[in-house]
Amino acid sequence: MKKNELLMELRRLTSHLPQEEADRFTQYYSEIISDAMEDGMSEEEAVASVGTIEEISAYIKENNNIQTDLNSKNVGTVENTVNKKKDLPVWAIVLIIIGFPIWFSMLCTAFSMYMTGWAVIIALFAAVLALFVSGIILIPAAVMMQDFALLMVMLGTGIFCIGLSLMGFVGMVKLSQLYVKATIFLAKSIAGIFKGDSK
Amino acid sequence: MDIQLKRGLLDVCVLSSIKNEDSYGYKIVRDIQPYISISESTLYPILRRLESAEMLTVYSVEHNGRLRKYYRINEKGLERLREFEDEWKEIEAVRNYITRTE
Repeated sequence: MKKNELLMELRRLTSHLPQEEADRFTQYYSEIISDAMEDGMSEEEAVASVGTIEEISAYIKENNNIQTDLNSKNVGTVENTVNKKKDLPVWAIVLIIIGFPIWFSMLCTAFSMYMTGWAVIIALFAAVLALFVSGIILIPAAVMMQDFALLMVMLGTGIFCIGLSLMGFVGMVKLSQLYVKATIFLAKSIAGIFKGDSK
Repeated sequence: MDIQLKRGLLDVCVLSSIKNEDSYGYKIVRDIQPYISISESTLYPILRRLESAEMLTVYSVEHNGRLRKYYRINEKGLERLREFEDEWKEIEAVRNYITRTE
């Protein structure tokens, strides 16, 4: 292959990269080939010495972002986690603006559904509280009863209510903790989408 | 050489090749090759990375009607080489562990 044939191929392979990077990449190989020819190799030999197109394009894919990790502090590491910042194309931005009524109302709906969850939890707490209060009231009320059987029934029910409400309370606390955890998980996943993390 | 091991060494090798005198891509590959096999394609990302990490600087010099890129080591690069020297003691200890007989 001739030198300029290879360079044209390289430009084609790097056309998806920013102009500066693609130029830098192509110039690197151009320089190497020139130096190899100065060293005595023929043009064909020099071009062959830098590797085949397949090899080079494999390298481009492997070091996907040739402008490697500007944020990397640890140069000696094996894996260089590449920070791919996703830039939004103009049409996407326009679409987001136009679609505002749609996605915004959907967002509000989702949010109200989420808040309903809290409303249910609060209601259940109220129910537990009501049960507890009933239990508390039943006991002194029971003691005032003349009928022994009735007294025992009311006493038993009162104690049962208190016990059940205590268990219910524990359950409700657990449930709210779970709901909080789910919220955090949801929030993180949503944030993850926007950050475009590649992990 | 095992590829993982190699990757750790290549950066320091490249830095070392420009330690005493600035050099350029083609020459760096030739200088290192007797010690550790490296291709031009492998060298490119290493040079880019070292530049991003500010361990070397790049400048262009006119040569036979074209521009040739030269690489010069930085203070940070020299520091990395010194670190490697220290790391070497650890590497030796690991090697002794690996090759122990009892």
